[in-house]
Amino acid sequence: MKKNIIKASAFLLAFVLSLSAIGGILSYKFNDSTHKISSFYHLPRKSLDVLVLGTSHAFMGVNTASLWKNYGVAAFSLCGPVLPMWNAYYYLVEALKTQSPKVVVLDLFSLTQDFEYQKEEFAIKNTYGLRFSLTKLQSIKASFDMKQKDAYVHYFGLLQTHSRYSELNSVDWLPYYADEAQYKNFTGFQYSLQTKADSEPDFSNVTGTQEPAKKQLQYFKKILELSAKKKIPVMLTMIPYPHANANQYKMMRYGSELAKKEYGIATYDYINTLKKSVGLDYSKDFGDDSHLNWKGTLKLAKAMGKTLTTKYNVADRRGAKKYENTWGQNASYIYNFFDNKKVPAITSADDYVDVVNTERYLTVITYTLRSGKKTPTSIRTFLRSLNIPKEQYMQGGVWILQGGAAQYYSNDRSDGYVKNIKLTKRILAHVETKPKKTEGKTENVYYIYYGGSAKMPSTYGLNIFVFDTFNQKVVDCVAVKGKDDTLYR
Amino acid sequence: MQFTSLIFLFFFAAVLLIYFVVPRFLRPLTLLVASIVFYSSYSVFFAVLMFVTILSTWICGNLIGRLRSRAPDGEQRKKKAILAVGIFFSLSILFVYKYFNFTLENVNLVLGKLHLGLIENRFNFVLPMGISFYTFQALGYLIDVYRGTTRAETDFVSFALFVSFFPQLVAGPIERSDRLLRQIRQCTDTALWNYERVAHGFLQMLWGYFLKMIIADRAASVVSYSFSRIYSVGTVGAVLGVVFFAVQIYCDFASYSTIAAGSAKVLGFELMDNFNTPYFALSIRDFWSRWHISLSTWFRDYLYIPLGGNRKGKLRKYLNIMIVFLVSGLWHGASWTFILWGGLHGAYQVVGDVTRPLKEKLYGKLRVRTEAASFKAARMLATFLMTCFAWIFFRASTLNDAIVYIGRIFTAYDFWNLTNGYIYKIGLERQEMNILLLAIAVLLIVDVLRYRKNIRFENIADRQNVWFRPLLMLALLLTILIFGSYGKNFDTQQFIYFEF
Repeated sequence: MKKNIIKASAFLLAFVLSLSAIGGILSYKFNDSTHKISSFYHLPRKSLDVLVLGTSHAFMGVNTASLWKNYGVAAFSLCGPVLPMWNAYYYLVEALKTQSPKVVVLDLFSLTQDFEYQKEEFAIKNTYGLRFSLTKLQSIKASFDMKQKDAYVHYFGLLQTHSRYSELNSVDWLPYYADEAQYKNFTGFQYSLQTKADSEPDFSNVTGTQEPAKKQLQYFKKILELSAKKKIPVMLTMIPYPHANANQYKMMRYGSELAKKEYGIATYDYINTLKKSVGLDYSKDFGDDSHLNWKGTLKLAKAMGKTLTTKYNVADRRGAKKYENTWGQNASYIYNFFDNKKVPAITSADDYVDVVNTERYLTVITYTLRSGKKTPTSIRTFLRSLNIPKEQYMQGGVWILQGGAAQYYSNDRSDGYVKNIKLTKRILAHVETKPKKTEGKTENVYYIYYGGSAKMPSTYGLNIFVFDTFNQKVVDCVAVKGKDDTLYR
Repeated sequence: MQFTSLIFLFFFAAVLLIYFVVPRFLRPLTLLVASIVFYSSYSVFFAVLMFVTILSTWICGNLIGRLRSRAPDGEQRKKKAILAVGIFFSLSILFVYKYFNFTLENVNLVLGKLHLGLIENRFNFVLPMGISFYTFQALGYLIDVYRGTTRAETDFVSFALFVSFFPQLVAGPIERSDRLLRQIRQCTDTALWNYERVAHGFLQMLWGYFLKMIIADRAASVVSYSFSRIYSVGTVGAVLGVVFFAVQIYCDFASYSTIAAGSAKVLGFELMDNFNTPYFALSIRDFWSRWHISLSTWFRDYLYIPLGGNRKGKLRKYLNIMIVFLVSGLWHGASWTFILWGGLHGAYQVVGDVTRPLKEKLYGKLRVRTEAASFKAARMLATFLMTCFAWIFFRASTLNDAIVYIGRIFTAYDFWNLTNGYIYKIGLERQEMNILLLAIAVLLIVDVLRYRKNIRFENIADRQNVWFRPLLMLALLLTILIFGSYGKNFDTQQFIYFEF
């Protein structure tokens, strides 16, 4: 009997472990929701200072990178698309299991949503990412209308996601959704690069309030009560939204007044009363109809950072290793991302020298010199600026530079592989030569391969491939043909 | 409460838990209550109807039993009369709920031809789940009591459990009193916990789920594709449609029997084998000794033999075969397509029997080595093709549809579809079709093992290392969980035989 019990227990254990592994692979993965909660679980225990709860207005509005860089605030946007208050509440419950935030920032826009249950696709996004626990079951119960046919499947995510086997890709199989640089230290902030001109809503004359939907209000109160019970100050916000209407504003005001009256909680109304402190330009600072763009978030972060550090006394964590490893790394990734965006705009080889010399860039340069031709002046000048010796640049070859320092050189032009280049743990590039017939003559030409395709804007001359080793992304790929200083892409 | 539903799994787990802990004398009552709950989940009224059949059969059985104990060889008339009443009563319920609409339709058809007034159908009877199964099981018992091969069950709980035993209630196997009733009588004495038996039972259940959720429900998509396009499908599509239907109905029905047998085994009961590699049959007669064995043996014992079997000359034997198979067709459904399907199977056997001497003579003259594997394979193929041909009538909605479908096979040639990837365009996406084909290959291996070595699926691991069985169970469990057709993204199919 004892033996049989051991056998059965071992079987059950193996089953649960397999199920958990398979469930993880087959689970839905959404960067606007499940990625956030999953990254939240990776935060060091008791490290979080500011927990941001809200809809996409919050996760695309509260710039956690800027808050860190400029104020040393360790904030995380645990938000979701069209996040209702009940999901925000269960996110808070879940967050408090591992973190002790000093402030909870709650965006009031959720109060304006008038529904008993979200659309299933959103409810899935806002619940499926939670780890299996009573909190998750409660969140699912609150999010799905259990009277609907087969709604119970949401309690066991695999019953819903098992058919995803036909759509799996690297995001499902690899850790950090196949993008370790972005998601290892993700703090929930998503940015928009677009600009959409809009007009500024004017609520200066709106004074009244309007009662929000009952269920939203019920969970809003639960959030305030739980925060009060845990003695965590709450900072209510109204994040700018160009298409907000008077009714929505009144509902947010209702929440604001209730919080002030019953819990003594202040609201930071960046839509109306505090809009000057943010200084948004609605014609430039929004990425789409609903969300701030990068520029807009920088302005909001400035206002919020000041408030968080002065009114809520949130500590400046810059320099502390535990925090730098998460928030520092995350901020670097995001700021690097915007720096990298500037590189493809450079048009002259002369200006490109600084790019190659950037510390985090690994650069692969190939120079195929046509037989019987001399190295043109523009190429010579560029390579000389990179401290490449004359005997090398006069005959061409392959250079690999890290932060401008040469790591490798070869002038082997025989057929086949010249060099494999390990860009990251998983990402490889390689240089090879292939015969090319031009003007009746055949000679070997250097090719740079990355992601299965050749990165070679020009057959002859210089080809420069730039890879950001910190962000683990290709930054640019250009050619200098030699006629002049111009870069070709 | 379908076997493939989550609610059934919870139900079964709860029943197991209670059954294993209740005092021994409460075991039959526990299972009876579970069976009533199970059947009532479909319809309380259906459960009441079943109860009527149970009660009438139990009373008749006991009346015959009393007469038998008073005068074992006497009072035949009385016994026969009670038997007739019992059979009439049960069959009446079956007739009303299963055949009334069909009979009226046909009577109206005749009346219409004769330009007479039609009879209005004031009752639109809905077919209770599994009525044909439990009615036949009850009738088998009554006839056994009449024949004296089984004793009348005086304990109502045991008898009611025998008819309503939930694992096999809705789609068989149609159990016999000398097997299941005997086990029910003994269940208060047997030890429940037997690791090997329970493990075998669970493995068997998993195999059943594999057949249903991986193969049958996927094959159903191909079948629906072909049979819903009878006016446009080509030869290749039509042939694939019927071949996949052969796979679907086998896996669908065998899966129910397998899950039933597995769950019964976990509870400590052995149900009879209902399928034994039917598509490896060498003749149609052989096919019927391997397909729905509980029904074919039922017909053999309670219809064919009482009709005279093969004891009254060749002509009478052929007539009896035809009667049995026409009734078998009718048992499957109140429709001419089923009757024709049964008739075809009867005709196959009669023709096969009539032409046997001629065939043997021909084989002798042509020096055909009938023991050669190639000859056996050819016979298997021929039998499979004949079975498939008959399946067209079984699957088609009407006789006309079946005829059109057959016409498409022989006239709408599109052989280019054999090589251009057409198979991936008939109801299943490439990946789903590949999963189906792979699963059919697994089924083939399992059936070959059964056919050649007589190893049943649940016994595959018996002679292997200790880790093999849990590994096999784990693999099956995960395969079903991942690739099973269940949940919102799949059109889950009801078991086909639920409708019979």
